Amino acid sequence: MLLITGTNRNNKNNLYATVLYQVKDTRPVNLDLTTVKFPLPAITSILHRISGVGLFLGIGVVLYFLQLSLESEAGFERVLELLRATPVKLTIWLILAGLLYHLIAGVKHLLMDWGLGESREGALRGAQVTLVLAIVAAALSWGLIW
Amino acid sequence: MGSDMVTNATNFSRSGLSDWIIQRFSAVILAAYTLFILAVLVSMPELNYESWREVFSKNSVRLFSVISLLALCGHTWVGMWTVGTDYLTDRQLGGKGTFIRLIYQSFCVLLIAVYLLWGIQIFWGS
Amino acid sequence: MLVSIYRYNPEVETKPSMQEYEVDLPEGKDLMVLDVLALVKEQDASVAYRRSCREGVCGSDGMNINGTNGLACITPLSAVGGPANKLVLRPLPGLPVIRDLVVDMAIFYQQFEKVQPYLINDAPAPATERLQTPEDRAKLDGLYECILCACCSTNCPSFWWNPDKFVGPAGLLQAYRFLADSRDTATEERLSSLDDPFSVFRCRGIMNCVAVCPKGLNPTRAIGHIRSMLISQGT
Repeated sequence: MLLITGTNRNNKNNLYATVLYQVKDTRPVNLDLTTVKFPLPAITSILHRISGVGLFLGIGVVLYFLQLSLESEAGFERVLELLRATPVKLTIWLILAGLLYHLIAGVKHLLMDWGLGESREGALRGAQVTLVLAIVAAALSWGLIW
Repeated sequence: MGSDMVTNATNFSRSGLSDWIIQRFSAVILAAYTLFILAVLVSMPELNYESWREVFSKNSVRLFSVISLLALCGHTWVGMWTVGTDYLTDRQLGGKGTFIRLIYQSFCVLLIAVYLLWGIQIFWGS
Repeated sequence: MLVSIYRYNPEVETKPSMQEYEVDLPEGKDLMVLDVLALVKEQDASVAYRRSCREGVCGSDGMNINGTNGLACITPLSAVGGPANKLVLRPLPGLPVIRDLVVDMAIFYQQFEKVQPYLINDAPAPATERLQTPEDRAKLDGLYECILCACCSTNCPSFWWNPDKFVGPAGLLQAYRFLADSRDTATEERLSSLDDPFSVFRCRGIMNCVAVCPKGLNPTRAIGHIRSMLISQGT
């Protein structure tokens, strides 16, 4: 970040401006996130983002399994076989739980767009409900996979 | 400033409102599709190749799948673009931020294109 | 009580550090954080912080108190969260530190300036005031009370990452204050200057702003109203 921007670097007549142009802002910024207390709605929001980025990569896994399962009888059997391995089960569970979390937090977002849960208490309640529903969804998908 | 130009150049819509509408509209489609697939999986206790294939060979499901795929592309682009312009900037990463974000955005575009073509092949190709 | 304070003096140090003070509190009194700072200042006069009215009106002493932004003068020790008997004071997050707890608010004010926080009315000024019905006036309640302490904007991650592009909760609350004003005639211009991907839309609705506003205001709701206006105006 430059302290002064917009001054002409090549303007030799304006030495002062030239010097200032090259002065960088070296002042510290207090932004150590471990020292900041995040309320629950902020936690659900960052989880929404993390699950979204994770899903972006997870879609590749889903498409791979989908293609294999629709390709042929043998491919379908292969998918069922792969799904018996614990690491695969865990991966699919992570994707499914992430998807359901993203969906639930997304619905909360849409409700907020309608003006619901926009008070201080409403935000907290919304975040609590989101987390509880997400935990239930994650448990149910665990049951579905195992 | 150079980084602003890059920010503008890689934001295809250039309007916050249209990004916002794309995000919401695609979200509703994706939510409906997710629930539909989950309902199929749960409602078919004897899931075998024939029945599974039959679901995806219906034209209505094919159409729903491809529409959802398009929604997915829009949804992920707006989301990933937002994430990139939050963390991968000159402000956060020093002078290399814009370059790193360009690499990241190229990767996102590439992966979205792969998903789109691959998905169309899966849903419509077979 | 142990008080840990963020220290940085550009003339002496290149890096900030935390300095601890042991402060004796008077018995049976619930001091404000600002009172504790005054006790620290008695021990060490070099500790720098801003304060003026000491009653939550001027908005000078916004700071990060045990991880949460607030005004030191109206935050009693009993209301401070975190570990008991320890007070950690840091400058407002995300803004350049001038010295100790004093931050440079220039970028915050620039965002405020961007929303043109003043009445715009093309009609010639009448001989008396521009009148407003009580109903229209009531629409400004919860908007005009902002004291620009920056507690909200500096508690907002979107403002941390893009303080030059995202207007931030404080600026947007004021943007809506003039959008909602029946006497203002620049609604269309105001809205079209906000329809980029950052100014308004970088808000992710996490409501950290609402959680810390010392005046109990709700920037998130104002941002929602601005979005609705942008939608009904169309792209």
